[in-house]
Amino acid sequence: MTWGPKTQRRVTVRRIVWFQAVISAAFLLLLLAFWKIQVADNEQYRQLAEQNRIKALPIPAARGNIVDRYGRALARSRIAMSAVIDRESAEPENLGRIAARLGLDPDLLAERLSDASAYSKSRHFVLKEDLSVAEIAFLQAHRSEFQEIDLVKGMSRQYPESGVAVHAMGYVAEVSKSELNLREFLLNDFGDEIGKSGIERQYNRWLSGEDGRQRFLVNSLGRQLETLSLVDATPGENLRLTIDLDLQAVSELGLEGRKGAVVALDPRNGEILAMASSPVYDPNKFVTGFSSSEWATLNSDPSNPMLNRSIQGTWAMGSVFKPIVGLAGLEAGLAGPDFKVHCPGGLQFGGRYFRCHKRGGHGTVSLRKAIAQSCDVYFYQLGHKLGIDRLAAYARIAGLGDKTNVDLPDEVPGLVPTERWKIRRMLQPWNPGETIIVAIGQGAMSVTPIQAAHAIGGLAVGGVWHRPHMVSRRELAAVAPGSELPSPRISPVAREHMDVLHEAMWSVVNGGGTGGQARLKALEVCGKTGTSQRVSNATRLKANREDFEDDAWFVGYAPCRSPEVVVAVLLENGKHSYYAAAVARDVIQVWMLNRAEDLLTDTEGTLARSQGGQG
Amino acid sequence: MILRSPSSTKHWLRDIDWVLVGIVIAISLMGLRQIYSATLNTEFASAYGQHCVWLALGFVLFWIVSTFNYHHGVGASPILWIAGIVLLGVVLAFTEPVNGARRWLPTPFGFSIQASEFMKVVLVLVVAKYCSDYTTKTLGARDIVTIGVIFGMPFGLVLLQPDLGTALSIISLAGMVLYLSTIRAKHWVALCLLAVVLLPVGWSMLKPYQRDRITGFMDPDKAPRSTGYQIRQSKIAVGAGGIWGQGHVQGSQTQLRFLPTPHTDFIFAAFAEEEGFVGIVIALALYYVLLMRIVEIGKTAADAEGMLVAIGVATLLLFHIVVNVGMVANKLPVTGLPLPLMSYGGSSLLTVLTMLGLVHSVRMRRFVN
Repeated sequence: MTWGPKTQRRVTVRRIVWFQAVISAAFLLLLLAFWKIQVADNEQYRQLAEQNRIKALPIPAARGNIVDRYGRALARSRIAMSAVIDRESAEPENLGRIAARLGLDPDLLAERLSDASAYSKSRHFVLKEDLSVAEIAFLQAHRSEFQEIDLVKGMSRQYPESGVAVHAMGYVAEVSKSELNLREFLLNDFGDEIGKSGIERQYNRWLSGEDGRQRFLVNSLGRQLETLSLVDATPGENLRLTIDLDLQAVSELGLEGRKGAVVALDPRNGEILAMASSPVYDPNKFVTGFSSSEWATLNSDPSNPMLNRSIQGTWAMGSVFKPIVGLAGLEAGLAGPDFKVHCPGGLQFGGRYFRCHKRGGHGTVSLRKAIAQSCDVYFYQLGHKLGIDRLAAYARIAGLGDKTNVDLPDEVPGLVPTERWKIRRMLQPWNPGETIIVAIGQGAMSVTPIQAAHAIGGLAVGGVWHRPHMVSRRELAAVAPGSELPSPRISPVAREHMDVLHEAMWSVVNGGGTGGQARLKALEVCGKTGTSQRVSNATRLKANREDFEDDAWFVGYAPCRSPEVVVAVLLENGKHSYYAAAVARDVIQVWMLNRAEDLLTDTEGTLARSQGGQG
Repeated sequence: MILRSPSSTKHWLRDIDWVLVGIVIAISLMGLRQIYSATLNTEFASAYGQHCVWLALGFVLFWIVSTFNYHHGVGASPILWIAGIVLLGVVLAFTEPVNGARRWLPTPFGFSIQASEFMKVVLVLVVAKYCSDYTTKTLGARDIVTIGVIFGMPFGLVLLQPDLGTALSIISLAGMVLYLSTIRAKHWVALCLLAVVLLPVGWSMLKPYQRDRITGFMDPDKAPRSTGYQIRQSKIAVGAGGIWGQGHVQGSQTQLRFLPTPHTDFIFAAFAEEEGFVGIVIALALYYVLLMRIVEIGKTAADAEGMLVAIGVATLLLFHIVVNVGMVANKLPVTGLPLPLMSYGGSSLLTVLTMLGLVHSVRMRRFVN
């Protein structure tokens, strides 16, 4: 043996035995390592493997279409590709490139990503909606590079070009962090599109539908191999509004280039036929996104285009309030045929001289003439006799000073002052001089255009005030079971009182009154004009400022003795009510034409018009 | 003293070590089956057929080397060593880098060989030649310098390729030689000091991707996508295997290509996913028995050369197995060393079967003196 001496060989063999021990130890350690990963932690890795190979993507639900009363489109959903990002596998070093190619602000994207981790319930959120063809091509070509991004067939909201009834319709946009905490949006997730205002928000729950979910097998390159499970999206309910697109269009046309609002409703049931507010914004911009300068311009515009003047702006009601004061006088027995007032062109009261709008005076006037000629002195006297609290009580019966509870968010209540209100608010006693100012619709009292239409409309149908609404009782029962319209508020007006008021308001339009512009040949229109001061006459004349000019009102209804439509027109700084009356006339004329067509074609008319309206 | 050569008698069949051969065949078939599964749905689907050819060639080579007296190889080792150094130099000097490393030497026959693999076999023989008497005497400084040159030169050349894994395997062989030798305490201290000094130097010589692999191993989440991704996906594949495995051609990590290089470096991860812990126990047991058998052959070798050949082979195999399997088990950094007998690749397979042939040659000649 050339192993050397026996003792040396024993030493070597012992060292080899130690080597064997090392081998044994190494294998034991390896075995333990595998035991730990494969057996002890198996569940964890099984899930990780599943996350690797199974991708779950949302299937966005189509938002319900919104149509007018004849089925003509007011808002619809169209198919658009969206890019969704998997926030758990998002690579920070990719974000810059992705943002650049999709035209997103990289800082904003990083912020959204961290917000998503804090707020989102699912792994994916929408990175960008409504991708362009170039963006889709880019993402598809770089699929293996940007594995965190997926393309999803989504739905994008589309409104008619530059919008119709934009304020009433509202718009959709991504839910904000603060909105996620609201009960209203409890079921929504970060990145969801929600109705932000108007009908879109009011009926968001029913319009939005429910997103589906698709799970499929993917390989390491992100290629979709097979679908494992599919829960289809439930599309949102389609919603038919009571809006008549023709009335809406003529209302908007009348407001073009002005600030103001038009509300047309059916006083027999409260259905809103038109609701316009001016100036407007383009709701499609909320879908496609604003540039920061566009957004700044929109927000800082002094004419406040985002405001829905129909329900969110209040103005002094002016002389439009007079029929309600007249009703109060009649019902209180103070404004009977015997009550006549001599108008010399003003009234000395409490050490002040209150002028009538007609310098020369109206002579001796009864209620009828007082309304027709809009005599201030008559109503100073009547208001004084009634007292502020009795006046306020009738105003409230007509629905003033309270929200009409129209089915739109963020309505404001306006104000009907009382003695109590003044003491509470101003810590001063009520001054009787204020009563006579309120009696002509000035002073502390303020109303929204929808309240004006609601009040006069309810009065005109004999004291029945239906809640104004844009979704009819029938439609509501079909779309949103469980929600119901309340019964109308009824305070019947005596027949003979009604006759006086109808006659008076008939005279306003047809009897040489202040609302002659609203006159129609084929239909008897009644109404009441109003101009309300923003500042005192003296200040207005001195300042010569556009925004100090009087606001102009006209509220009209037709047909005269059995009203089926009431239109309130407000023109901010409109100076005279002539133009307001003309706008109301056009709306009523179109209403009349549509009504005639309905009568002629009966139910088929609905079909004919809906087809015609698709063009 | 009985003079007998297996080739000169009719008893060669009796001298075959059936345990060694059986285990080698078992592991090779296991590897072949896994290569088939891992490449079935990929562009590497032809790897299975090619590997069959390599295996056949490998077993022929195994048998030739087995019947060949290892003493001739040991005798020729200085020339082979010089040839190996020249080849490594040629690879470094004249070839174009492939994937950032110069490892492959093209041959006129249409295939490339890895010079470093050839060097592994040579080093085992050189060890047998120069170190056989170290077990009988205490090493002097000159001897240590000799060892330093024998291992240092190929180590340096391989490191320059760069191929850290193979370079370290050479170090493991040198370590085994020193372990089996008798060295003075002061020389041990000097060697340890040298190692401490050279370690930072070596670190600075590493390529960035190699450093990434090591730091990536320490903290996979912070590692760049490529390295961290490999480690993570390998761990998921192993863990998802569970006790019984996902089944042949059923592992999602392997089949859906989340696991990188499932037929070469990470074949054991693919195997772990599809065959589970049970498969791992069987595979590790086979490797364990193989190594123990080789060491046993070393212990019972007829001479110190035979002993050193067997122990050298066992050391290299152990290093490869532990480094590869340890990487798959997420206990060691990614080094790119193939798993002997299982990973796809001709160079590695032929080298391993040649070395096993040498061991078998030692075994068949254990009574020769």
